[in-house]
Amino acid sequence: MVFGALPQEKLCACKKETSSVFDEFFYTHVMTKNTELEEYVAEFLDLWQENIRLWSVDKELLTPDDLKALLSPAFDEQKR
Amino acid sequence: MSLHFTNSEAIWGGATLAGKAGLDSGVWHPQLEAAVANLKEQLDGVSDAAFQKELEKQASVRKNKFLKGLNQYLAHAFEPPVTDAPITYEIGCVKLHDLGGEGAPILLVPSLINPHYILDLMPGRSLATFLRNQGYRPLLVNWGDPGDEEKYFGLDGYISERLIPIIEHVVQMAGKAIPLVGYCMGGTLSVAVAARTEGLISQLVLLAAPWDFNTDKPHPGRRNAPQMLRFLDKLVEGSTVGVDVLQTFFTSVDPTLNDRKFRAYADGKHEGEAVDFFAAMEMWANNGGPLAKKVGQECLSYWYEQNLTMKGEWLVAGLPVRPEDIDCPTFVVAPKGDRLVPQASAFAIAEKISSVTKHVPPSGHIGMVVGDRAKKGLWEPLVNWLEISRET
Repeated sequence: MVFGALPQEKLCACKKETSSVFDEFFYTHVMTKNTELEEYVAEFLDLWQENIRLWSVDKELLTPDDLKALLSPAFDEQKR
Repeated sequence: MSLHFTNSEAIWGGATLAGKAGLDSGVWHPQLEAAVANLKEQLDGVSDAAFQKELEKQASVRKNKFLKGLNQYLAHAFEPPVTDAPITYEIGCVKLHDLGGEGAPILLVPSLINPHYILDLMPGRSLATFLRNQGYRPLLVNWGDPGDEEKYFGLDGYISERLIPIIEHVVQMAGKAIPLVGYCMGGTLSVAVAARTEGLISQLVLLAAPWDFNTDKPHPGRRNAPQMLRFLDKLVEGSTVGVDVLQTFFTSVDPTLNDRKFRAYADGKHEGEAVDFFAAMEMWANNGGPLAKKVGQECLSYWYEQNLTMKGEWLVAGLPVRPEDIDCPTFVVAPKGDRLVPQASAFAIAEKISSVTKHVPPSGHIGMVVGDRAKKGLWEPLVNWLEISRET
């Protein structure tokens, strides 16, 4: 059955009903899911950036002697 | 500036590449493990494709916002804050600005890196103006760009052939020994002068001046220092190192800072004077003359790698610099949260000087000089100390 085949008042009622059902579905499932997904992704990106900041501090913690030990083999190799 | 682009691109590009699977990787810092586990639980049932689509969208929005903030800053109609105080003395490419006033001369020595005008940034944010209003006559060293002579200078050259003649000139103006304020690297250079000259410095102020380069909390870019040194070794004599190269050191403290800063700027989180202040600070941080190759090499080798300052083996004019030889009252300032010069590094020298007062301002390395709390946190305590220690 198509809407055009219904009397006007029935058509309006039907439209209202379907619209209401659709809205309920849309707002409780699709929109909520999207809003939640947006929040999750935003949180992921915040964590990603914070992770870089935290590691950038930690990675500096090598002492000059540690660094020398780490790098000197490469430079010794190069000199040979 | 180019570093800002690269960092922003790398952060958000990396996040997009990692995707939802990134949560299962071993890249996370221990401090974030709980938050990551919680997010993974919440994402249970969310399809990878939906997550990736939203991720790409939001990463792109963040990158665009960073660019918007950068554009707003670049479009901001603000004259670079350059001290226009008259030049009272010039030696080589180094100039001495006289900020006027009727009082006793006081010499301000900034770092060789980034422009001198951080000590006279803009109205309301100028240590030099504050000192003048308190009855002093501030004289500000402007290191300028290295000229034909300075390009071959090491630290020794800048101290012996530039800073000491300037101090002698100001002492002559004053007719007596003068107070000297050294900021950051300018403070470390000032230590050499104060320890090696007699009768020139009456009071020494060291603002976040690094001394111990092997502190638990590291100096920025410590892990890059050896490679950077080898890079400088390959440059021909008389070369200079641009501000962008030097910025890699400061940026390494927090590669995310500029992205966050410019996105906040795009969000309109700055109003009124804060907008001009933001622009002034960015112009200051992104400008500055290059550094002579030999100065860079000596900072990296003598200070970063060998910690000669702390060992008492840093040589100036062939003799070691010994802070124990400083015989004038000394005010050592080191913010707790300083990310560029760790507090322990700046305070290390205090243990070696006989007449010393330590002060902890409630801000960071730059904030203590020009920030909202600079007046109460640094300028006023500094002037109080100058008055008290002058009487003793």
